[in-house]
Amino acid sequence: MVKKINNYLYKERYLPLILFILLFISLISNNIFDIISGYKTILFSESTLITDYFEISNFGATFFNVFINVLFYYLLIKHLKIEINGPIYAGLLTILGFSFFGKNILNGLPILYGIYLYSKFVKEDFKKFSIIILFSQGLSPLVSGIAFSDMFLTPYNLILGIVFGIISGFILSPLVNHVFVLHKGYNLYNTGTALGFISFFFYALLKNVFKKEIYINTIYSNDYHLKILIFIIQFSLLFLIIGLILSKLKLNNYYDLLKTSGKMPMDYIRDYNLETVLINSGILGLFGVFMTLILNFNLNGPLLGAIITLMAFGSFGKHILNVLPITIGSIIMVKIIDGNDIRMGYQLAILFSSTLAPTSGRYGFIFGIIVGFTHIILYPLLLNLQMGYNLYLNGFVGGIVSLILIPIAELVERRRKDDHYE
Amino acid sequence: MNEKRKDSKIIGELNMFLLSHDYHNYKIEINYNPNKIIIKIIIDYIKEEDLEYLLKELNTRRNESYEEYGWEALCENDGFNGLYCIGLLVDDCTYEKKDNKYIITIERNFI
Repeated sequence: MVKKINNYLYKERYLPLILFILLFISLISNNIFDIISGYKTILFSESTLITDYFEISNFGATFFNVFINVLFYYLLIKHLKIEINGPIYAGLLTILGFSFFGKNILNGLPILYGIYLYSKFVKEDFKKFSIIILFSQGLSPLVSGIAFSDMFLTPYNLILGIVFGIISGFILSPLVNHVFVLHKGYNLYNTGTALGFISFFFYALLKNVFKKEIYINTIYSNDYHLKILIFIIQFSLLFLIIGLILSKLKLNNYYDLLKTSGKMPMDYIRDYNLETVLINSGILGLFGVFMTLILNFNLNGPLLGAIITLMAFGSFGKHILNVLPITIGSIIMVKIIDGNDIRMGYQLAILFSSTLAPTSGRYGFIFGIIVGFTHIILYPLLLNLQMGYNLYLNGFVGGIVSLILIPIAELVERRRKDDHYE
Repeated sequence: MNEKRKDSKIIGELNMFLLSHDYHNYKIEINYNPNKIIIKIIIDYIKEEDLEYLLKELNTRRNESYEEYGWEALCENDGFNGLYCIGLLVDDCTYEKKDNKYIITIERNFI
């Protein structure tokens, strides 16, 4: 019986266990009425970057939101009969992470519908867009940021929010494929790059055509640091321990994984196995926690989401060796800019700069540090181009950084090869 | 048309692999049927390690979720991870030795 359960959980990548944990935490944190009331607040909030659901709602309701989102997209993947490989696993865990700040079930549906319409338009099976479906949810604030704001009178705000969401979903797939050319697989949050251009467009439309003033939110909680810390340490350890048990403490696969650059396409579940990915993700989670502790960050929804996203890409390109140089570069530059009093945006940028992990994996430690520097330098300007509509803002930043730096890296590499042969 | 572009990418990456490993004397045949494309590489000689590498990269399981995610730009003929990339798009790769030639057969089903 135990073996059967374990085989089932293994096949489902332990997602049913994760769902159970999320629901359990929700139900023990607040009473059911507070959860329902808090969940309603989440569903009808603007949810633009940065909106910490722990702050606008409550602990239990936030975890319930996370549970519902992951459950929905997990069931969708099951319904489409998609195998949970590396990118799919990363997509589901990314949704988990961002459900703490900005993503809920309502604000993602118009985008999903837009992708569905596109699949019908091009006469392709909807399941072929599964990676895009999962990563498209980064644009959820575009929908709720208009639908539930007072930017327009009701019901025009609702209509416009939904219509913009559908249009975004519709154009996303060709744009996602197009932006790969910008970074050639070195930017793991590739869809974030595409979302960045879409949100840039809609922000420009709202500002210049509709003459709307839009402001960036900075809503985050200071009340749950210890609770969040306990959760994320245990969550990371759970991944690590399960991975170690399944691998019978044999780490050969993990050592091989550490030698990869992480450049896309990369699928660590496919190339190695689930246990190696769980070990990798667990270590990345603990690394994220360690970073926040030594930098003295107060943990909240967005930072928790950032650490979980770090873990998510443990199946799809990231590992401790390719993440470290970028993170070090980001920290050095943030310290130069903000000193010891690091603003929330930069705190998140430090953790999310690992979108460019493959650059250090391919071109080395020093280049990784330069990439980290550049990411932080560009971050605030690119935030202002999107005004909180793109949760995967750092994916957009990563795309632009790659566009600038990868050609230089390639030139240096080509020159080194030519010098070697002379 | 989209399927034909993917097929063209696969052939391009195979060419890049062979040329970059200094194989200059080979033929590529393409056959279509309603359900699949069959690509055959007919080559006089291929080193064992190259053949093994080709079979390994093209026989890891095809990944439908990559069908609409980046294959266009990722399979860019730079020789870095091209075979990995097209391995996500093909179903099967086998070989046989016939009349002193290697015939490597790659199949991709249309889904």
